Amino acid sequence: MVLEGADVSAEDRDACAAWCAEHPDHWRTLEQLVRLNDALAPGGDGLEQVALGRLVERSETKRKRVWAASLGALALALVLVGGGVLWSMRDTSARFHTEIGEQRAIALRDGSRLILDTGGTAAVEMAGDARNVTLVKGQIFAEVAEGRDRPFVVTTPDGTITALGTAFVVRRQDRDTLVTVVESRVRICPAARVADKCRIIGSGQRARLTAAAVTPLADIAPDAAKLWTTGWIEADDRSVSELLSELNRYRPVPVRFDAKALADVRVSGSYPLHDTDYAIQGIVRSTGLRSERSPDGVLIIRR
Amino acid sequence: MDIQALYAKHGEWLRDWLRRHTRCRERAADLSQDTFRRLLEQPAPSSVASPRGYLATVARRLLIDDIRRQTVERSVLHAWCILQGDREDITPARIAEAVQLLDVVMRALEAMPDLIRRAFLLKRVEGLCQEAVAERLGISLSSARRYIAQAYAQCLTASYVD
Repeated sequence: MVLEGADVSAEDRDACAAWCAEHPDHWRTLEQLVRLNDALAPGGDGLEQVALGRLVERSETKRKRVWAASLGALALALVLVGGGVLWSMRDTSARFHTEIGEQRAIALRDGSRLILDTGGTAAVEMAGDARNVTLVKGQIFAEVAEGRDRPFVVTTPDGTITALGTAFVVRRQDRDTLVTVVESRVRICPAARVADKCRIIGSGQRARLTAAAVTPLADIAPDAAKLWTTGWIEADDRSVSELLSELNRYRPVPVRFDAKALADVRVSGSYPLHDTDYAIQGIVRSTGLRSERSPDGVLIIRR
Repeated sequence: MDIQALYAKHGEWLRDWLRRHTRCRERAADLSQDTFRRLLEQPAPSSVASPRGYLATVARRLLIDDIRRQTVERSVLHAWCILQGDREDITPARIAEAVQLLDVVMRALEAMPDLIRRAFLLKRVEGLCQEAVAERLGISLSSARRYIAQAYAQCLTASYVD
């Protein structure tokens, strides 16, 4: 039986042995302690570690909220409470997943924050000085805490996006990856490692990343780029089929429509992502389109 | 104290009280049963000034235990969801084991004084060494060692309540 390895003195060990000898129950309690140590040891399946990290984050946030509110920092605490996961284990990795229509805030131990959008999968690895996020599927917003000597890198099959500043959005699509910078700059490198193919883009700029190249796209207002993280989507004279496709990403049962037939219909407005039925009602009203339910209950939009 | 009389006189009241606090008829019925079982099992005071107050105190403790257990269960299932992409060997028995262990740990954490709890979390959850814990909390190394040891002791004791 080893108590806390090198930290343990001979007296500690004697005291422990004496305590164990006092009562048979004490042996059993010591077994519990060993179980806790084993459960949290590296190399296990990580179940207790991940669960405890989340539990502690919840209860500590609750405690924190009490004084944060009294300091008038309520908003910050609420952001932390909002379904977040404090991922506070050292030198381990964790995988995060969102259902269709779900968004999840992930607070990292270094103070960085991720928001994983609908139907997404991302793996986070914080080992030593590395801060690596692998975006397997979906869209992620990263707000990176400063750490000059700890590179923060998002990787997709198309390449890597390295933070040179604070906030950006990465979206993995079927054939490519879209990168939008909200604040400061990022360096984007295609998976095919050719040094001069890397490109640095700044606030409000967008780029398409494929395994072979980085292509700049039209600029976008930085606030609009991360609007989805607040649960809203905005259209400014946008094609209605584009907007409906976007909303479909958040719908377990997508709406059906004929993109060709609706090609010339444009729409403007702000719509909630958390209630896409309501959003679609709004779109239908403002465009004069019609919606109906098919016999199997699917919503169909047509002229 | 006559538990049977207490049940006859205030059993219905307790179920109502629990129903208001749980908003769930089934949980209220279960917890009401548990409350009286607890009273039968533990040495009861010979008489209490307010029978309903006494019942509510015992029930409230069970309610808190119940909520903690549910929270732990949710967190373990959540952890399992995150991890199952990589691990297929996490069985239902394994989940039950983790829930039981963490339930004990969380109960102990709730009861700990602030500094002791934070020392324990920095050491166990964040994986800091004792020196770093002392530095982070602005306390001496010997205090940090004492706090961490006390936290462990409390985790152990917690596993023996009930």
